[in-house]
Amino acid sequence: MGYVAVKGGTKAIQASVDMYKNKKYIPGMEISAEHVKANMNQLINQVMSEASLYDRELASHAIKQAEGNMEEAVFLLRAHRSTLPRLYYSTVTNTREMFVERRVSASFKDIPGGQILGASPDFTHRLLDDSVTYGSEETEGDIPPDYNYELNNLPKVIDYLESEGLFTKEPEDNSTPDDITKRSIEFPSSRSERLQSLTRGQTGAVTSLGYVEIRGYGYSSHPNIGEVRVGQQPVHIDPAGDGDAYYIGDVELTEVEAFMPADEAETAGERAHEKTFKIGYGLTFGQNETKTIAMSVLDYSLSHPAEASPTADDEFVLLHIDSVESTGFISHLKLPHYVTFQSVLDRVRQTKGGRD
Amino acid sequence: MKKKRWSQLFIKYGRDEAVQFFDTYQSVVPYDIISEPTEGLTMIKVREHAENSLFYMGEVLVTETKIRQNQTVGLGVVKGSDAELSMAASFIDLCLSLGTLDEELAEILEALEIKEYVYTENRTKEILKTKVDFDMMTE
Repeated sequence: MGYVAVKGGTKAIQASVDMYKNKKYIPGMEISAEHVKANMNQLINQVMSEASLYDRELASHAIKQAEGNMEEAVFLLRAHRSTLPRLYYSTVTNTREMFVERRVSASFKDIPGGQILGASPDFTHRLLDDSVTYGSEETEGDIPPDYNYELNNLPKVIDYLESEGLFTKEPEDNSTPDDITKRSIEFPSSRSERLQSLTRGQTGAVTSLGYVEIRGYGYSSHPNIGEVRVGQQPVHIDPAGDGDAYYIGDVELTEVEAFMPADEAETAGERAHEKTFKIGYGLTFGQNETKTIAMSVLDYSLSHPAEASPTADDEFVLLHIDSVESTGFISHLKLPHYVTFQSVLDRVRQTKGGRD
Repeated sequence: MKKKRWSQLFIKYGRDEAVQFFDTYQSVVPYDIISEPTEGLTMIKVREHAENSLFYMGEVLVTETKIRQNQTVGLGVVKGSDAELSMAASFIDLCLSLGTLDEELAEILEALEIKEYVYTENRTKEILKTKVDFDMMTE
């Protein structure tokens, strides 16, 4: 059988596009990107994080256009990002300067600076409630007498561990990071490639693999969350390179430091008999706590690989968590594969014919 | 005043004041536009705390404007899509570099410092209402 190149379907495709656009809204019930921005904060956080582009307006627009389809919204935002020039690199951003709006520790009750719950659904009943309203009502509660806090200068929990001699801070590594948006990841991956890939990973994929890691296919240990903090992080640029930097704005970030008891084999020399702690690190755009915790778990497993563990395999983890790549590949399967399938079909027929 | 400080005061607490300053004085300080407000990206470089190394966590949308008077350049880079603020910030940067309209700017910045103080105190009080007091759990 020979193959004949054909073309067709132009009118049908146009009709499909028209149908898609027309079916979108019930007349009079359209919402604007402003509505999305005002009401879908967590969705915006996820889209910005997975798209690796921080802008609430653009994310809201993408969500509206994608009808709430996450993978489509992330794709739209990534595509838009590719049309924009990269003008600057920020100065080194240090989360110690974050204006903390929420900060909890699962490891210590009395952390220096205290546990600050901030705004979280953690303490609400997960029951459908159509009476939920959104407004600017004042938060009820007592202001602590010691409210004279600097929320942009809170101590970190790892400082406490360090002061106890239970965590050794590494010397500053100022090597220029790799950038996976400029050059594809190479394996074995560098730490900067791993962290950049994890922070822009699909929320579900990162969470699932973090869960896999803990359940027994990797490090298999329950990490202790030293600190989850959410807050506003100032970003600066220094085009002249003279140390006199400009502030350009705040971005909301979630940061996690997870404590992992270090194996004795990992400690060296005189300290070989001592147990100590290592840190798994997570940092994402917006308030994305579950993903960021999972990121810290995977960061640790990839940096301290357990033998024969899938979640310690950087190629396995990093090449499969990207939303655009994974959803793009899976969804391409529905596109015409007439020629390749005919080829398969021919071979099957020949095999079957030969047997007969 | 350092760039870090004045730019934070205007961008975070004084958008309206920055735009108003530009509207009021743009005809007093001659300048040429090098580049009109343009959208682009800034890649955020972060120091992580596990191994104290650096990585790129993602990009933030910015609007950039460049103006000049002779050899002195005014730069306005602000988060998001905000041509008005970016233009105003570049004008303020130019004025500060030229040392012109110092008194007017100092007066605005002084007022913005008070605005910052009030905002920060109120926001801090609001957030600290959610600070856990473990002693109360036994009551």
